[in-house]
Amino acid sequence: MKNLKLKSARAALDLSQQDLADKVGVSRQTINAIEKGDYNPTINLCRSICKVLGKTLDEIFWEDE
Amino acid sequence: MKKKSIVVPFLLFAILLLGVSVWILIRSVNADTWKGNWTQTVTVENGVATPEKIEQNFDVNMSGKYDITLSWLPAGKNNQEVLEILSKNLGFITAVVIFDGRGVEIYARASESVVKETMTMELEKGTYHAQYYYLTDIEQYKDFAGKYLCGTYEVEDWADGMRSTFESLQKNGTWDMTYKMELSGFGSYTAGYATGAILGILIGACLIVLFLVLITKSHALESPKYDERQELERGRGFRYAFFTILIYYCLLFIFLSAGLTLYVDFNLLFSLGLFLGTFVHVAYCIWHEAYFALNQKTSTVMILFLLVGLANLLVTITHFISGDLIQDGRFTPVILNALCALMFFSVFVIMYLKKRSNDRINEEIEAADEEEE
Repeated sequence: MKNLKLKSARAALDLSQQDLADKVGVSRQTINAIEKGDYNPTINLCRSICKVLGKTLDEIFWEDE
Repeated sequence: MKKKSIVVPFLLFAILLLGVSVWILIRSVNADTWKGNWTQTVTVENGVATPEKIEQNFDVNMSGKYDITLSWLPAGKNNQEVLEILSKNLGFITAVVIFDGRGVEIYARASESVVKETMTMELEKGTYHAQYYYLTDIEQYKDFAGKYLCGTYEVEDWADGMRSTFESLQKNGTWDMTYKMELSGFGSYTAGYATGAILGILIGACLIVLFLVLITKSHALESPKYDERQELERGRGFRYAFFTILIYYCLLFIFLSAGLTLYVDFNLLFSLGLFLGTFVHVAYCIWHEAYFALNQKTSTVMILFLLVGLANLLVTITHFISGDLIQDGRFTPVILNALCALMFFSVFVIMYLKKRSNDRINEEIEAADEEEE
């Protein structure tokens, strides 16, 4: 399932996948895989992403009903 | 902060030592063969053979267990016709004795003909010496038997059974005899050689580990860093590689047990499994963007791959030109260089295909982004 919230939060800060990857210390392909829904990140990585994007875990990773 | 454990480097080192030891064991056993096939014309005049004897040397390159197969027949006679060969048709009886490098007799036999005789022997490394005598009378036979054949028996008793045979021999004539001698088996290096080799490799491995530890501590070499997804994919890559190797060796065992003819060197078949496993791991990791570490320069690795691939290709071409690639209708271990070159070039092809796939995906993402905007 695609993570459109992550994609839009990143775009809102005008960050490319590579920029976000560099900030959280992972590869660009990993960010791409998360956005595409091909990879479920660990809680540590979710937290790092949220910190960079200034969002909470719920806002980025919690599915809407 | 996670503290680095010493267990992982220790385990890696133990695996390295185990691998080296297995390699030594495999390398310490090697097939060795020697084949001799010749025809000799023997003339008998008034009961005297010319030549009186011929000699043949052969080398054993490694100590071990060997099968020695001997045969001699009058030229033009085949195995089916051997029953027709009677001593009265010949003017002599062939007697053979084989000596080891120290001059100790290891085998002796005297007969009109021998279709095929095989004996298994433990042979030391060295040059062996075979002498074929042409015996025309009972006195020559007794002399030969006394020296090499009868052991603790009395020569007279031993020779009694052959008296009538020698009486029926032709006194004049010329005969062609066909001789074959084959040596085949598995020699192994001596325990001293194997021990020295294992110790040498162990000391070398220790020095390499020490060197790596020193340069890592001095920060001259940075250890590769993978993110969590890459670690996961690398684990899957290792799993597929492991099962590939497992299946390969199971199939190899089945095929070898079935007694199939080998068209490649025995050691090469075992090395091939490691190649397959490595290739599966590398190919899987590249395809899932988990081969190159975050702090690794892709271009440096690619240049290294290209150089290794080209170097192996060059070595393969050199061996091909010199004719070392195939011997006795079988691929020799130098084909490993060709496999190495093939593997590195295949990795390039996978990298190229992955790059094209990524470009296509990126274009789709960009198109989708534009559409959303």
